[in-house]
Amino acid sequence: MGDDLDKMTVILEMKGVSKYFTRDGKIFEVLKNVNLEVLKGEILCLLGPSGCGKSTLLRQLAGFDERDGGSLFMYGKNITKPEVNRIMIFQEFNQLFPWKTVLENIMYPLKVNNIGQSKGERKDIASNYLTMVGLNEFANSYPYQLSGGMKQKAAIARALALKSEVLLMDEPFGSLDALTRGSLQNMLLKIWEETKVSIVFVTHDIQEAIILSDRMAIFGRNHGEIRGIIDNPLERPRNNGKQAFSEIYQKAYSLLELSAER
Amino acid sequence: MNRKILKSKFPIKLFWIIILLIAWEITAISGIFPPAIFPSLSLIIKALAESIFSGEIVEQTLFSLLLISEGLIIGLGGAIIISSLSVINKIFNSLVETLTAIAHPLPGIALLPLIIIWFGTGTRSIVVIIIHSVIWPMIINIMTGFRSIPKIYREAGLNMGLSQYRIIKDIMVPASLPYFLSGIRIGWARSWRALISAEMIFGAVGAKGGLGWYIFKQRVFMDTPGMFAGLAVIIFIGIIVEDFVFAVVENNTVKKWGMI
Repeated sequence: MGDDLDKMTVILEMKGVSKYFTRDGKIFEVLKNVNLEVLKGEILCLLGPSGCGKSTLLRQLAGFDERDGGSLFMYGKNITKPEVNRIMIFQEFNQLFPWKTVLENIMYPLKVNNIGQSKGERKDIASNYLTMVGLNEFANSYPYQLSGGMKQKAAIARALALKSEVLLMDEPFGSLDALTRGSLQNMLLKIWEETKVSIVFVTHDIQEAIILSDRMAIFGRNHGEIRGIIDNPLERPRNNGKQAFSEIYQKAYSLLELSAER
Repeated sequence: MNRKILKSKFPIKLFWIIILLIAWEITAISGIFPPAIFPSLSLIIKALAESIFSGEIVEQTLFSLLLISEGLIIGLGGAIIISSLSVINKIFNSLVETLTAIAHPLPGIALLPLIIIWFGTGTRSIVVIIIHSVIWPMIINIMTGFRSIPKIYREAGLNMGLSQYRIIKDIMVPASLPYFLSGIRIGWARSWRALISAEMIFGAVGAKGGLGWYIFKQRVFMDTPGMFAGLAVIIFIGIIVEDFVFAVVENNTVKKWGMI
């Protein structure tokens, strides 16, 4: 019961968020008056085709970019700049610093944020999270020695070690092969259950969104607005053989309006 | 695999040096050119040994190296400070870009007459010329390095709460280290050119003068082996610094990190 109550707490709130780009004298609306809430402890997927504005919205949540209208809040407080309590996990594999070992990559932000009393303590914290993502063997490797999937795991461990309350994930598994993607999805769900971290997960893959999410916010093509929110109460682990899975798939698919080109 | 190839570079270089030396000796012995123009290795080695034992070339080499170190360190420090400030401030950045465009194409030697008027013909002038020769290419390299840093490092840094100072020190500097190193390499080569030409024109500055003066002086005495001895010292220092300083630094940083 306590768990359910907790889930009702709004952690992130977007109100009338708008953003334009001008290209060749024409104005493109990337985000058009977006209103959305992220509940504490949930996995919310932003689902849509490329160019729909979902990554732009995620970057807004991170606090990286300017906007043309609206406001964003975390626990009711205005989001004005990037902060440690919302960590971005990028799609690119080079988000670790190549001049630090995997372990040092996780320890360094701990030091900057005064987490852990001593170097030894920070090392223990970092090792724990590396173990959680299954990378402890590679603690002393340099990032270039890791595969793409391992680099993403290390980036997730870095965010978790910082006790970040929200992971903002921008198609983090988009450049991985299908098998690796599947295993990273499982890993993410496992650590999500362990840590109760809130996740906003951007993807263009309907199946991935259904496997991961509690709710899905669906973006249409080139609209820059959310066309609908789908609740996804399926029991985990989910697989696409089940009837209920296909029903949600159909629902998402029709909202995406992929077939009806305007 | 890669590292092994790199490590084996020095023996290959040594092999070619030996071949070139043999070719030199054969040419000298054959007597095509008079020894006063093309001395044999033994004469050069003898001249080198003599001036090493007398201490002359050692002192002059140290003198030159000291000037180079001074110019390089000031030049590098200045280049780092100026480049960092340009990152922080856009107006300063445009000023530096303009200054670089003006000063970079000017050979240090062209400024010599002016520098003599301003600073005299002492060691200070030589250091000024060295600084001028190294600081602009180093600024260009460091700024190119800063510009080539993937946006994602900066964003990841901001996201984990780094201050502007830490972003420069802990992210931008290591991320652009390959450019830093090539900047220092260029600076090192440029500083030798500046130093030797300045020394040849100034003559004996300080008590004895440096290597440039040493080489120039031997011509006055038609001591060709002595001139080659001076050149040999410059070549030797160049090879040592390349293979045992730059290469070692690279192997322990950018190569170890998989950045180049």
